[in-house]
Amino acid sequence: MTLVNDVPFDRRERGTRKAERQPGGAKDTPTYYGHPALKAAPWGWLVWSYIFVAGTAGAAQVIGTAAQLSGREDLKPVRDNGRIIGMLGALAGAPLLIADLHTPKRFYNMLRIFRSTSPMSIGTFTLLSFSGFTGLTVLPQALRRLFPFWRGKKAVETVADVAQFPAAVAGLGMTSYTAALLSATSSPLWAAAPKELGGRFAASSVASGAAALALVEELNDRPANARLLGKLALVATAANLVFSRLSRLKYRERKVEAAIDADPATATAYRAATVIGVGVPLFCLGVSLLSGRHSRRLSLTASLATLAGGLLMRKAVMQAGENSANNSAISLTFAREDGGRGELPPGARPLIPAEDGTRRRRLH
Amino acid sequence: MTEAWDTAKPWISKSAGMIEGSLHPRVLDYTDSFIDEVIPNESELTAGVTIEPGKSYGFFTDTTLCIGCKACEVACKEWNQLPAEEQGMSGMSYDNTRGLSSSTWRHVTFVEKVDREHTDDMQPFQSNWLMMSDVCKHCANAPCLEACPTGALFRTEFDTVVVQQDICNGCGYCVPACPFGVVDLDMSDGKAHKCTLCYDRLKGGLEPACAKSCPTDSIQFGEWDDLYERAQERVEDLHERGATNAYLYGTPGAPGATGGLERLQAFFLLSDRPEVYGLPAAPTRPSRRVAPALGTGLATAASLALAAIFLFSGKRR
Repeated sequence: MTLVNDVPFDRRERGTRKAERQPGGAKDTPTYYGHPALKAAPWGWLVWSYIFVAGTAGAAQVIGTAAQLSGREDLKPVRDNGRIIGMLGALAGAPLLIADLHTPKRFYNMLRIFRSTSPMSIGTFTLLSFSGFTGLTVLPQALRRLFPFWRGKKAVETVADVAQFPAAVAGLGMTSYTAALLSATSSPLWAAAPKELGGRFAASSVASGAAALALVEELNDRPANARLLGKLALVATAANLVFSRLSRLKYRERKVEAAIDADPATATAYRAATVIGVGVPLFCLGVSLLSGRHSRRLSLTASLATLAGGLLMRKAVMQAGENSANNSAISLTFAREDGGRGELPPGARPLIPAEDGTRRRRLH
Repeated sequence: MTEAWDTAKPWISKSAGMIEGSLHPRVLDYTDSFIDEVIPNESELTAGVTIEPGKSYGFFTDTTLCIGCKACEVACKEWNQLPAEEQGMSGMSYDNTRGLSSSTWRHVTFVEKVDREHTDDMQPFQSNWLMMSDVCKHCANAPCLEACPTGALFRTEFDTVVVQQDICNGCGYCVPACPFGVVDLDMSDGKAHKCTLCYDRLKGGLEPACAKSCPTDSIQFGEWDDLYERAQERVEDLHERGATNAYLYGTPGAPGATGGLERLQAFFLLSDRPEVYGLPAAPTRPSRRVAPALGTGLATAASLALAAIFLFSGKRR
């Protein structure tokens, strides 16, 4: 162990300065000098980026499977691109996760055990199986490119079509397990609304997956497919909106909402995520649907906004959760018997500041 | 002399191996100032308990006996070779340590309590301070252990929770999992660290460093059931003496052992709200939220997949 001096000051201070203001929580919850009563997750942009990438890749494979099930010839590109997006996500996901470890060279220790109580462990094996099955689904496309004259691709295609189903099941897991990862912590904002967060991440992932596929279809001049995927994105975005509202209500009820506004960056990201990821796509796709005419510009805008908003939403939720852990007024209120909704027994009194403004006892 | 000792510590006579009102007979075997060997089962002499694998051990920290000397903090740092905190002035009474961290596994809180009910009859030097030596709670359903994806965190043969430093890959999931803000990553070595309840000392028959160094026996080490019995008697005793605000934190059914945590191997006797000491009143077991979050997520994604199947089932080309 090296000296504490080697660690940058702001890293050691983690959140204490923020906690001084202590907005939120119940006013009658005492704290220990406003010092954080919890420790925030030591994760950075790698993790919230991964949550977005995993969700989008997983959903793309799920949507691709739906396209395969339809048996429609015109949806074959959707199936194939779903596989490619899934593979790209799997290829990007593992390095992102490994890079975020603080001892990356021991990444393989994740495979020592399986622990059903740990979403991190569940996620490890979800990502592993998703990568494996998705790898099988992209084999035909890869072989077609690498060995154009090789015969006997039929068997590989059958393998890919069969592997598509377990890949989709793992893909479903990829859209949602990250919500469990955050909820199964003691960080108040994440712990406050597990169901709502699960629904939100899943819906946003499907919207992103559909948006990514629609983007590819649009760029390859297949507007009919893009329109169909736009409809799916619209449904998923609507579900995302519902779960976002529900989680907001839960945050208010559990008195953790102030963590969102604790710092300007989080507050801005949180609002921007809703405007960009929900507002813009709903408008664009809605106008496109109601007008009855497909607009390439609206379709592209909706897709890009959905993807950007999805990424921003993960960042905002991540930061707000860390804020809530660093704020002892919020975390100790959240962990009260009554969740801060009632009143503390008369024996309890907040330490700082004193109710009557005096902190000094009268001298004799 | 011995009588006064007994009255102050009614539990001493109940401890294993202790002769009522006197010293352990084996103490007479070690009268030299310098002992050139580790005393076998030293814990019998210092804590009245024989440490054996398979039994459940813990700490009972009685905050009403704590005088804030920080001997436990120092003993812990020395034994475990942990670096000092160099954070400067905190403005938090005599507490510049601030909290438990990767390099602080015992931390003494100082609460300069303003007692507005006794402003007229209490002298200022009667500080009414609250001091508490905080530590890892070694929860029965330890959330850090349940979160650990590598198995680095494990339950020992003494019913305590320890991070295996040669396994931990610094994923950091145990850090937000802990409902008490105990586990911490050391950014300089990239591993999670926390109190081991002196796993190495227990293996060698020694009482944990903090408990052994505690001059007022505010920190008591022993078998959990014995400690619980002692603690209940202590609460009753305090209540009889008029200190009716004394209560246990972390024992079954008490604050701190809520939300599926069942019990804390290291529990406390407190005399004010838990939050005053920076402790959560009703912490919860995070793994209970896995199923709701994952279930709702999977159901939502599956429903949207059905929507996709429905949308794609239109005209066939």
